[in-house]
Amino acid sequence: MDSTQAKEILLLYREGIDRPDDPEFAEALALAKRDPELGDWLQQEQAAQKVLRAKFKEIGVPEGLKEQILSERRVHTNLGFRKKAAFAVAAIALALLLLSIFTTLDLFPNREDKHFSGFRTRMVRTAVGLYPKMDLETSDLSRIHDFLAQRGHGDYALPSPLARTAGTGCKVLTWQGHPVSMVCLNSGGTTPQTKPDLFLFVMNENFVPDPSAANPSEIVQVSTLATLGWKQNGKLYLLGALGTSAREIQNSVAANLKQL
Amino acid sequence: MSLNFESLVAEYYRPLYQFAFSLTQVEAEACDLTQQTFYIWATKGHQLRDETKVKSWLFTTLHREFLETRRRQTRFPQYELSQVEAELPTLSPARVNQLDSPQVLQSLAQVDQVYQAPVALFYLEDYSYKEIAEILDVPMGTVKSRIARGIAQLHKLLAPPSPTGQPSKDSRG
Repeated sequence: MDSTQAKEILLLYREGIDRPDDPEFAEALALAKRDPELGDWLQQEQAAQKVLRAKFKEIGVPEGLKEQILSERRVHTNLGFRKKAAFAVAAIALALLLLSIFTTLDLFPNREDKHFSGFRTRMVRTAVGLYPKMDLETSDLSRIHDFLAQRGHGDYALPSPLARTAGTGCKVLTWQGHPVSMVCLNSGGTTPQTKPDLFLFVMNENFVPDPSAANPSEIVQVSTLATLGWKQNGKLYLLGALGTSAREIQNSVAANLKQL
Repeated sequence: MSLNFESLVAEYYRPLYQFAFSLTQVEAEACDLTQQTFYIWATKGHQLRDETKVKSWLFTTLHREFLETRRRQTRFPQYELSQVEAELPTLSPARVNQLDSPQVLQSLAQVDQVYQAPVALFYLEDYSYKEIAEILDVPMGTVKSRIARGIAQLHKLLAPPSPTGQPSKDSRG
């Protein structure tokens, strides 16, 4: 190692910080002890470095920086809290809204009663509460039958009292994932004629575990509708009647079914 | 991590600001960098498992933020060094004493940018070269050569002008 190489190494040596017995520094320091010129240079260099270090550490810190950092932290914390709080409020509001919608529309299929009574309740709500837009609107019962037949739901039989009424329209619904035909009729006792007061729902009887619960000798009031259920040729029927005229027809249907 | 934010700020805001100022030479930028560093600590500091590494974590973060801001402004070349110039200018303590802190920092600002952070850490903190290498995320050999090269440039800049108007090679007083 010559003097120039030793200077390069000793330039990095910080007395009191770096270990003098570090092999890299030890050899250069030993040479500085033997070489007066190098030793003098090292002494000057170390003194200059010490002053320079002090100059760096003299860098003044602006007044209030610490307080500003702490207050920024509080602002961020508050902002974070506010954001989280706002998010939580929005999430709760959304959850309540969805719950309300699902409850109103009864869109909890897995929690719904899968028996005949559940089917009946749901269909009444559909007829009275929602009354969805019909897939076909017509008074012609043949057209309604053909329309449903084209969609694979034409294998239903209208009891004769119903066959004498006028149709208003039809729609294919789903209940628990199963198709349900909805035929809407007007008994003739309400105006206008396009407004239904009889609602017939038809689906396969094996879509409920208790099709025998559809007892034609029993009319059950559900909400504003009088309901009559029966099963025939593998189909489950539910007839809802609204108002006196419709109920008279419903009674006729029940009477006919008793004769079967 | 059980470190209290306020006590952490109280302990490190000064050295961090000094490091930031030695890099930027601009008070507002240095304040921003210091604040940003503590903000990052507040959001990500919990990821640090070893409490003894807090200080170096803060310096590393500040340096990264500085590089990020500079990268947005201009991409400066990252080149490696060969060796320190053969003839090192010698700087006398008397000469350094004539200068105030801003003058020293102004000279540091004229040093090649890639050397500025290592030199600042060299003078400001009592870190080992291994720790400085970790903070700057470069190999230790590179850190050493950058510091040596940076000190050499700084010495030249701080040396009194020669009669010809150029900084003298030997300013021993």
